Amino acid sequence: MQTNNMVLETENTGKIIENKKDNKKASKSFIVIMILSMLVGGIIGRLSTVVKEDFLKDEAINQVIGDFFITLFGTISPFVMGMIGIVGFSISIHLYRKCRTLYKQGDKEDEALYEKIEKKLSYAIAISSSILVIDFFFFEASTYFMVHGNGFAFIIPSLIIFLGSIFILVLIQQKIVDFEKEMNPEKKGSIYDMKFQSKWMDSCDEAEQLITYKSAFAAYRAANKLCIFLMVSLSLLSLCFKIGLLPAFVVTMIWFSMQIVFVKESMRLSNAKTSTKMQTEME
Amino acid sequence: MPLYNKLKEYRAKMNINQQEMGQLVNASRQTISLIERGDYSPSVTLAIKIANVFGATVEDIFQYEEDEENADK
Repeated sequence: MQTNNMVLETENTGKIIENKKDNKKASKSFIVIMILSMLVGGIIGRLSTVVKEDFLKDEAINQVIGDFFITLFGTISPFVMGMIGIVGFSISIHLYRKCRTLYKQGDKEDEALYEKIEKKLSYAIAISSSILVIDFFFFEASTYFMVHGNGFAFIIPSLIIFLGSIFILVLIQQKIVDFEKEMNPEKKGSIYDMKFQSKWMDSCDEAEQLITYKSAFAAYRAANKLCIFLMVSLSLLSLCFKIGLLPAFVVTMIWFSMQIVFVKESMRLSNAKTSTKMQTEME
Repeated sequence: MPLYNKLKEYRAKMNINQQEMGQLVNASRQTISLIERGDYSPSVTLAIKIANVFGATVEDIFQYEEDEENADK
Protein backbone atom coordinates (compact mmCIF):
# COMPACT_ATOMS: atom_id res chain seq x y z
CA MET A 1 0.00 0.00 0.00
CA GLN A 2 2.77 2.36 1.04
CA THR A 3 4.79 1.41 -2.04
CA ASN A 4 1.74 2.12 -4.24
CA ASN A 5 1.35 5.54 -2.64
CA MET A 6 5.03 6.29 -3.22
CA VAL A 7 4.72 5.29 -6.88
CA LEU A 8 1.66 7.51 -7.26
CA GLU A 9 3.45 10.41 -5.57
CA THR A 10 6.47 10.05 -7.88
CA GLU A 11 4.15 9.92 -10.90
CA ASN A 12 2.31 13.03 -9.67
CA THR A 13 5.56 14.94 -9.19
CA GLY A 14 6.61 13.91 -12.70
CA LYS A 15 3.28 15.13 -14.07
CA ILE A 16 3.56 18.46 -12.21
CA ILE A 17 7.05 19.04 -13.68
CA GLU A 18 5.75 18.06 -17.14
CA ASN A 19 2.79 20.48 -16.79
CA LYS A 20 5.13 23.28 -15.77
CA LYS A 21 7.33 22.57 -18.81
CA ASP A 22 4.32 22.51 -21.14
CA ASN A 23 2.96 25.77 -19.71
CA LYS A 24 6.37 27.44 -19.95
CA LYS A 25 6.76 26.33 -23.56
CA ALA A 26 3.25 27.39 -24.59
CA SER A 27 3.30 30.64 -22.60
CA LYS A 28 6.22 31.98 -24.69
CA SER A 29 4.19 32.00 -27.91
CA PHE A 30 1.11 33.13 -25.95
CA ILE A 31 2.99 36.19 -24.62
CA VAL A 32 4.35 36.99 -28.10
CA ILE A 33 0.82 36.79 -29.58
CA MET A 34 -0.55 38.99 -26.79
CA ILE A 35 2.16 41.64 -27.29
CA LEU A 36 1.65 41.60 -31.07
CA SER A 37 -2.13 41.85 -30.63
CA MET A 38 -1.71 44.78 -28.24
CA LEU A 39 0.62 46.53 -30.70
CA VAL A 40 -1.69 45.97 -33.67
CA GLY A 41 -4.71 46.93 -31.56
CA GLY A 42 -2.94 50.06 -30.33
CA ILE A 43 -1.98 51.12 -33.85
CA ILE A 44 -5.47 50.48 -35.23
CA GLY A 45 -6.99 52.19 -32.19
CA ARG A 46 -4.76 55.24 -32.67
CA LEU A 47 -5.55 55.36 -36.39
CA SER A 48 -9.26 55.06 -35.58
CA THR A 49 -9.01 58.03 -33.22
CA VAL A 50 -7.19 60.05 -35.91
CA VAL A 51 -9.92 59.13 -38.41
CA LYS A 52 -12.57 60.12 -35.92
CA GLU A 53 -10.86 63.41 -35.04
CA ASP A 54 -10.13 64.37 -38.62
CA PHE A 55 -13.01 62.98 -40.59
CA LEU A 56 -15.81 61.95 -38.30
CA LYS A 57 -15.69 64.86 -35.85
CA ASP A 58 -19.03 66.06 -37.00
CA GLU A 59 -21.96 64.00 -35.70
CA ALA A 60 -23.73 64.74 -38.98
CA ILE A 61 -21.06 62.83 -40.95
CA ASN A 62 -21.56 59.87 -38.64
CA GLN A 63 -25.28 60.08 -39.33
CA VAL A 64 -24.73 60.36 -43.09
CA ILE A 65 -22.55 57.23 -43.10
CA GLY A 66 -25.14 55.33 -41.05
CA ASP A 67 -27.97 56.47 -43.30
CA PHE A 68 -25.95 55.56 -46.38
CA PHE A 69 -25.57 51.94 -45.27
CA ILE A 70 -29.20 51.67 -44.14
CA THR A 71 -30.37 53.00 -47.51
CA LEU A 72 -27.88 50.90 -49.44
CA PHE A 73 -28.75 47.61 -47.76
CA GLY A 74 -32.45 48.44 -47.56
CA THR A 75 -32.62 49.27 -51.27
CA ILE A 76 -30.62 46.35 -52.56
CA SER A 77 -32.22 43.81 -50.19
CA PRO A 78 -35.15 42.69 -52.40
CA PHE A 79 -32.86 42.35 -55.42
CA VAL A 80 -30.12 40.52 -53.53
CA MET A 81 -32.62 38.17 -51.87
CA GLY A 82 -34.27 37.44 -55.20
CA MET A 83 -30.98 36.97 -57.01
CA ILE A 84 -29.25 34.72 -54.48
CA GLY A 85 -32.49 32.80 -53.95
CA ILE A 86 -32.77 32.01 -57.66
CA VAL A 87 -29.04 31.26 -58.04
CA GLY A 88 -28.99 29.07 -54.92
CA PHE A 89 -32.14 27.25 -55.94
CA SER A 90 -30.86 26.69 -59.50
CA ILE A 91 -27.53 25.27 -58.32
CA SER A 92 -29.16 23.09 -55.67
CA ILE A 93 -31.87 21.76 -58.00
CA HIS A 94 -29.24 21.10 -60.69
CA LEU A 95 -27.15 19.09 -58.22
CA TYR A 96 -30.25 17.29 -56.94
CA ARG A 97 -31.41 16.32 -60.45
CA LYS A 98 -27.92 15.18 -61.37
CA CYS A 99 -27.88 12.95 -58.29
CA ARG A 100 -31.33 11.58 -59.14
CA THR A 101 -30.15 10.65 -62.63
CA LEU A 102 -26.96 9.08 -61.27
CA TYR A 103 -28.99 7.07 -58.79
CA LYS A 104 -31.52 5.99 -61.41
CA GLN A 105 -29.01 5.04 -64.09
CA GLY A 106 -26.07 3.97 -61.94
CA ASP A 107 -25.20 0.56 -60.69
CA LYS A 108 -26.77 0.15 -57.22
CA GLU A 109 -23.91 -2.17 -56.26
CA ASP A 110 -21.35 0.51 -57.08
CA GLU A 111 -20.28 1.88 -53.71
CA ALA A 112 -18.39 4.82 -55.22
CA LEU A 113 -21.65 5.99 -56.78
CA TYR A 114 -23.21 6.55 -53.35
CA GLU A 115 -20.18 8.52 -52.20
CA LYS A 116 -20.41 10.71 -55.30
CA ILE A 117 -24.15 11.32 -54.83
CA GLU A 118 -23.84 12.12 -51.14
CA LYS A 119 -21.02 14.58 -51.78
CA LYS A 120 -23.11 16.46 -54.34
CA LEU A 121 -26.14 16.44 -52.04
CA SER A 122 -24.03 17.86 -49.20
CA TYR A 123 -23.03 20.77 -51.45
CA ALA A 124 -26.68 21.36 -52.36
CA ILE A 125 -27.70 21.41 -48.67
CA ALA A 126 -24.78 23.71 -47.77
CA ILE A 127 -25.67 26.19 -50.53
CA SER A 128 -29.39 26.32 -49.71
CA SER A 129 -28.77 26.62 -45.94
CA SER A 130 -26.23 29.43 -46.37
CA ILE A 131 -28.59 31.37 -48.61
CA LEU A 132 -31.39 30.97 -46.07
CA VAL A 133 -29.18 32.63 -43.44
CA ILE A 134 -28.15 35.46 -45.79
CA ASP A 135 -31.83 36.02 -46.71
CA PHE A 136 -32.66 36.62 -43.05
CA PHE A 137 -30.00 39.34 -42.88
CA PHE A 138 -31.30 41.14 -45.95
CA PHE A 139 -34.88 40.93 -44.79
CA GLU A 140 -33.80 42.45 -41.48
CA ALA A 141 -32.05 45.22 -43.48
CA SER A 142 -35.32 45.87 -45.35
CA THR A 143 -37.30 46.10 -42.12
CA TYR A 144 -34.74 48.45 -40.61
CA PHE A 145 -34.83 50.61 -43.75
CA MET A 146 -38.62 50.77 -43.53
CA VAL A 147 -38.59 51.93 -39.91
CA HIS A 148 -35.46 54.10 -39.84
CA GLY A 149 -35.11 55.15 -43.45
CA ASN A 150 -37.80 55.93 -45.95
CA GLY A 151 -38.10 52.42 -47.23
CA PHE A 152 -41.87 51.82 -47.03
CA ALA A 153 -41.97 51.15 -50.75
CA PHE A 154 -39.43 48.34 -50.37
CA ILE A 155 -40.97 46.38 -47.53
CA ILE A 156 -43.78 44.63 -49.47
CA PRO A 157 -41.52 43.46 -52.36
CA SER A 158 -38.93 42.46 -49.76
CA LEU A 159 -41.44 40.44 -47.77
CA ILE A 160 -42.76 38.68 -50.89
CA ILE A 161 -39.27 37.90 -52.19
CA PHE A 162 -38.10 36.81 -48.73
CA LEU A 163 -41.03 34.41 -48.28
CA GLY A 164 -40.68 33.14 -51.86
CA SER A 165 -36.97 32.57 -51.38
CA ILE A 166 -37.51 30.75 -48.08
CA PHE A 167 -40.22 28.63 -49.71
CA ILE A 168 -38.09 27.44 -52.64
CA LEU A 169 -35.02 26.85 -50.48
CA VAL A 170 -36.95 24.82 -47.91
CA LEU A 171 -38.59 22.92 -50.77
CA ILE A 172 -35.24 21.90 -52.25
CA GLN A 173 -34.00 20.90 -48.78
CA GLN A 174 -37.10 18.75 -48.35
CA LYS A 175 -36.43 17.08 -51.70
CA ILE A 176 -32.81 16.39 -50.74
CA VAL A 177 -33.76 14.98 -47.34
CA ASP A 178 -36.45 12.78 -48.92
CA PHE A 179 -33.91 11.54 -51.46
CA GLU A 180 -31.43 10.76 -48.65
CA LYS A 181 -34.19 8.79 -46.92
CA GLU A 182 -34.86 6.93 -50.15
CA MET A 183 -31.21 5.92 -50.40
CA ASN A 184 -30.91 5.21 -46.68
CA PRO A 185 -34.26 3.75 -45.59
CA GLU A 186 -33.24 3.70 -41.91
CA LYS A 187 -33.28 7.51 -41.79
CA LYS A 188 -36.29 9.14 -40.13
CA GLY A 189 -37.86 12.60 -39.88
CA SER A 190 -39.61 15.15 -42.04
CA ILE A 191 -38.02 18.52 -42.68
CA TYR A 192 -41.31 20.21 -41.72
CA ASP A 193 -41.28 18.52 -38.31
CA MET A 194 -40.12 20.81 -35.48
CA LYS A 195 -38.22 17.83 -34.02
CA PHE A 196 -36.61 16.95 -37.34
CA GLN A 197 -33.00 17.28 -36.15
CA SER A 198 -33.44 15.03 -33.12
CA LYS A 199 -35.44 12.43 -35.10
CA TRP A 200 -32.80 12.40 -37.83
CA MET A 201 -30.03 12.11 -35.26
CA ASP A 202 -31.82 9.25 -33.51
CA SER A 203 -31.99 7.35 -36.79
CA CYS A 204 -28.24 7.77 -37.38
CA ASP A 205 -25.89 5.01 -36.28
CA GLU A 206 -22.75 5.37 -34.12
CA ALA A 207 -20.37 6.48 -36.86
CA GLU A 208 -22.80 9.04 -38.30
CA GLN A 209 -23.49 10.42 -34.82
CA LEU A 210 -19.76 10.70 -34.18
CA ILE A 211 -19.35 12.61 -37.45
CA THR A 212 -22.13 15.00 -36.36
CA TYR A 213 -20.53 15.49 -32.92
CA LYS A 214 -17.13 16.17 -34.46
CA SER A 215 -18.63 18.61 -36.96
CA ALA A 216 -20.57 20.33 -34.15
CA PHE A 217 -17.35 20.70 -32.14
CA ALA A 218 -15.60 22.20 -35.16
CA ALA A 219 -18.51 24.64 -35.53
CA TYR A 220 -18.27 25.48 -31.80
CA ARG A 221 -14.55 26.23 -32.08
CA ALA A 222 -15.08 28.34 -35.19
CA ALA A 223 -17.92 30.25 -33.49
CA ASN A 224 -15.68 30.90 -30.46
CA LYS A 225 -12.97 32.36 -32.68
CA LEU A 226 -15.57 34.40 -34.55
CA CYS A 227 -16.93 35.81 -31.27
CA ILE A 228 -13.43 36.95 -30.21
CA PHE A 229 -12.87 38.50 -33.63
CA LEU A 230 -16.27 40.25 -33.53
CA MET A 231 -15.71 41.60 -30.02
CA VAL A 232 -12.31 43.06 -30.99
CA SER A 233 -13.73 44.48 -34.24
CA LEU A 234 -16.69 46.03 -32.41
CA SER A 235 -14.37 47.61 -29.84
CA LEU A 236 -12.31 49.16 -32.64
CA LEU A 237 -15.39 50.28 -34.56
CA SER A 238 -16.82 51.90 -31.46
CA LEU A 239 -13.75 54.17 -31.40
CA CYS A 240 -14.88 55.66 -34.72
CA PHE A 241 -18.62 55.20 -34.85
CA LYS A 242 -21.51 55.46 -32.46
CA ILE A 243 -22.55 51.84 -32.84
CA GLY A 244 -24.07 51.51 -29.38
CA LEU A 245 -23.89 48.51 -27.07
CA LEU A 246 -26.43 46.32 -28.82
CA PRO A 247 -23.99 44.62 -31.26
CA ALA A 248 -21.59 43.78 -28.41
CA PHE A 249 -24.52 42.61 -26.28
CA VAL A 250 -25.73 40.27 -29.05
CA VAL A 251 -22.26 38.77 -29.54
CA THR A 252 -21.92 38.38 -25.75
CA MET A 253 -25.28 36.58 -25.56
CA ILE A 254 -24.30 34.14 -28.33
CA TRP A 255 -20.84 33.55 -26.84
CA PHE A 256 -22.20 33.20 -23.32
CA SER A 257 -24.96 30.74 -24.28
CA MET A 258 -22.47 28.64 -26.26
CA GLN A 259 -20.18 28.35 -23.23
CA ILE A 260 -23.02 27.58 -20.82
CA VAL A 261 -24.61 24.95 -23.10
CA PHE A 262 -21.21 23.35 -23.74
CA VAL A 263 -20.28 23.09 -20.04
CA LYS A 264 -23.79 22.02 -18.99
CA GLU A 265 -23.93 19.30 -21.66
CA SER A 266 -20.39 18.09 -20.83
CA MET A 267 -21.37 17.80 -17.17
CA ARG A 268 -24.58 15.95 -18.05
CA LEU A 269 -22.79 13.51 -20.35
CA SER A 270 -19.94 12.93 -17.88
CA ASN A 271 -22.48 11.65 -15.38
CA ALA A 272 -22.04 7.86 -15.13
CA LYS A 273 -25.73 7.03 -15.62
CA THR A 274 -26.04 9.27 -18.63
CA SER A 275 -22.84 7.94 -20.18
CA THR A 276 -24.15 4.39 -20.03
CA LYS A 277 -27.49 5.53 -21.44
CA MET A 278 -25.73 7.46 -24.19
CA GLN A 279 -23.68 4.42 -25.15
CA THR A 280 -26.81 2.23 -25.24
CA GLU A 281 -28.61 4.83 -27.34
CA MET A 282 -25.73 4.97 -29.83
CA GLU A 283 -25.65 1.23 -30.15
CA MET B 1 -5.16 4.19 -37.46
CA PRO B 2 -3.78 0.92 -36.04
CA LEU B 3 -7.03 -1.06 -36.46
CA TYR B 4 -7.00 -3.06 -39.67
CA ASN B 5 -9.88 -5.16 -40.92
CA LYS B 6 -10.85 -7.79 -43.46
CA LEU B 7 -14.48 -6.75 -43.63
CA LYS B 8 -14.41 -6.19 -47.39
CA GLU B 9 -12.95 -9.65 -48.00
CA TYR B 10 -15.50 -11.34 -45.75
CA ARG B 11 -18.31 -9.38 -47.37
CA ALA B 12 -17.10 -10.36 -50.83
CA LYS B 13 -17.01 -14.03 -49.79
CA MET B 14 -20.65 -13.85 -48.74
CA ASN B 15 -21.51 -11.75 -51.81
CA ILE B 16 -23.28 -8.99 -49.94
CA ASN B 17 -23.01 -5.28 -50.64
CA GLN B 18 -22.42 -2.50 -48.11
CA GLN B 19 -26.11 -1.62 -47.93
CA GLU B 20 -27.08 -5.22 -47.11
CA MET B 21 -24.23 -5.52 -44.64
CA GLY B 22 -25.45 -2.36 -42.92
CA GLN B 23 -28.97 -3.77 -42.66
CA LEU B 24 -27.65 -7.00 -41.14
CA VAL B 25 -25.83 -5.19 -38.33
CA ASN B 26 -28.22 -2.26 -37.94
CA ALA B 27 -25.77 0.28 -39.29
CA SER B 28 -25.72 2.53 -42.34
CA ARG B 29 -23.98 1.87 -45.64
CA GLN B 30 -21.74 4.86 -44.95
CA THR B 31 -20.56 3.34 -41.67
CA ILE B 32 -19.66 0.07 -43.35
CA SER B 33 -17.77 2.03 -45.97
CA LEU B 34 -15.93 4.06 -43.29
CA ILE B 35 -14.94 0.88 -41.43
CA GLU B 36 -13.66 -0.79 -44.60
CA ARG B 37 -11.58 2.26 -45.49
CA GLY B 38 -10.11 2.28 -41.97
CA ASP B 39 -11.57 5.72 -41.29
CA TYR B 40 -13.69 4.54 -38.39
CA SER B 41 -13.10 2.04 -35.58
CA PRO B 42 -16.44 0.46 -34.68
CA SER B 43 -17.69 0.07 -31.12
CA VAL B 44 -17.24 -3.34 -29.48
CA THR B 45 -20.96 -4.03 -29.96
CA LEU B 46 -20.85 -3.28 -33.68
CA ALA B 47 -17.63 -5.28 -34.11
CA ILE B 48 -19.28 -8.30 -32.43
CA LYS B 49 -22.41 -7.90 -34.57
CA ILE B 50 -20.24 -7.85 -37.71
CA ALA B 51 -18.28 -10.90 -36.61
CA ASN B 52 -21.53 -12.77 -35.83
CA VAL B 53 -22.80 -12.20 -39.38
CA PHE B 54 -19.81 -14.13 -40.73
CA GLY B 55 -19.73 -16.67 -37.91
CA ALA B 56 -16.22 -15.50 -37.13
CA THR B 57 -14.52 -13.95 -34.13
CA VAL B 58 -13.86 -10.23 -33.83
CA GLU B 59 -10.12 -10.96 -34.06
CA ASP B 60 -10.63 -12.77 -37.38
CA ILE B 61 -11.98 -9.58 -38.91
CA PHE B 62 -10.30 -6.81 -36.93
CA GLN B 63 -6.60 -6.70 -36.12
CA TYR B 64 -5.01 -4.17 -33.87
CA GLU B 65 -1.46 -3.37 -34.82
CA GLU B 66 0.66 -1.04 -32.74
CA ASP B 67 2.02 1.75 -34.87
CA GLU B 68 5.67 2.72 -34.41
CA GLU B 69 4.86 5.88 -32.48
CA ASN B 70 2.75 4.01 -29.90
CA ALA B 71 5.03 1.01 -29.74
CA ASP B 72 7.98 3.18 -28.69
CA LYS B 73 6.14 4.49 -25.62
